[in-house]
Amino acid sequence: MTNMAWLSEWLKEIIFIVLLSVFIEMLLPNRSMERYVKLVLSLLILMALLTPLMELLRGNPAEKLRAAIEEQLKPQQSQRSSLEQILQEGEKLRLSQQEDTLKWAGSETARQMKNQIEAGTGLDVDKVAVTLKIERSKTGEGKDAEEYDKPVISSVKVYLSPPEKADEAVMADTNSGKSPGSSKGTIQVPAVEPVHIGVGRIIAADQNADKGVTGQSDSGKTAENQAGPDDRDDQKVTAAPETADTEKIYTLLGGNWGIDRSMIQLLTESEGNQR
Amino acid sequence: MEMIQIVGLGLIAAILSLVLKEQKPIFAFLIAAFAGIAIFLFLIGKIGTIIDTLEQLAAESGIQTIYLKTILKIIGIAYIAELGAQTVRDAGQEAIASKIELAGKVLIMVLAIPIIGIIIETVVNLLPA
Repeated sequence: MTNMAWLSEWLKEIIFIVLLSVFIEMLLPNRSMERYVKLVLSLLILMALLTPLMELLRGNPAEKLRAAIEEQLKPQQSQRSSLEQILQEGEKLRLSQQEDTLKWAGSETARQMKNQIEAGTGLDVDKVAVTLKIERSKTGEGKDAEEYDKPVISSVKVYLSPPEKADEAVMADTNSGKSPGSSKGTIQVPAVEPVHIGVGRIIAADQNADKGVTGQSDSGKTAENQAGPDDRDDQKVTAAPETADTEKIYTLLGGNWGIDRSMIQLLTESEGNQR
Repeated sequence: MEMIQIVGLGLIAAILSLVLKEQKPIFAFLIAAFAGIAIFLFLIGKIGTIIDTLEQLAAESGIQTIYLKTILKIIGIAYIAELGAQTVRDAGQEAIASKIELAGKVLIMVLAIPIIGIIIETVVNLLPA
């Protein structure tokens, strides 16, 4: 529409000037002036014809061209950005869903592990925390290989209840049928405890910082264990001393779940903070 | 009516100048010159109405006023130069009359100079540097 308006304006100008020139040539008093007047009038008509061209050339043509191209590209860009946004949101949703799944799987695995350890070793396990991790794996070979997300166990933390009561220790002894020396090793734990070094806790925090999600068995201590590394609450844990029982747990978990020994942490809670 | 007035004025001026030419040629020239100027002044009012109409038309159709002004200046210069040259030629001064005409031509060309400048600039801009 604006283009047509501009065109009609331009044509009007040219027609007006041509008519006026003819009129003036008629009015001229004598022939001697005619050539000069004709020259000037033809120049005027030429300038009227060139006016849009001069408008076009005025200013920076490159700048104008860039602006016009940007104007044309803008809607496409906005569409693409909105599509990207949608994809991003979809990815976010997928990740949160994955996280929930991992959490649930972790807690379920932890519960089963706890049962197995308790049944296998007779030790009183306070809780088991399993950290799952997503790994990209490939199925098949060569061209048919397809990537998919495979959850793997990245770390297992077994929290052993401190054997604060003698009879429980004896019971554990009788249940598992160990030698008294090894059972003493278990009972020795309280002697180590007063050190109160937060080693186990720090390791746990580092493991939590890893991208995995920690699922735990139901011991009512979920909140404390999920807390950040700087949150040194009352739950102080120390690494359990190496005994035959712990060795048993290692082999049990390794055999049943195929977990590497380095991924398993055995921790025991200090006595004062037990609930 | 106006045409009859002008023709009457012209005839009277011609007869008077013919009569006076034998006795005092200088007065005959004066009569002719004044008659010409009088007719010209008489026409100026009419020319004014024409120019007003043209300007109005130009303003309505959105024409750049510089075109109209240039054309009007050209026509004015041509008429005034013609009048002066013929009057001087009547007085028998052919050389002066031609000089007046030359001045008129030069002034008309001066009006064309800005237009020529703009056109040349456009053409130079069109060509790649």
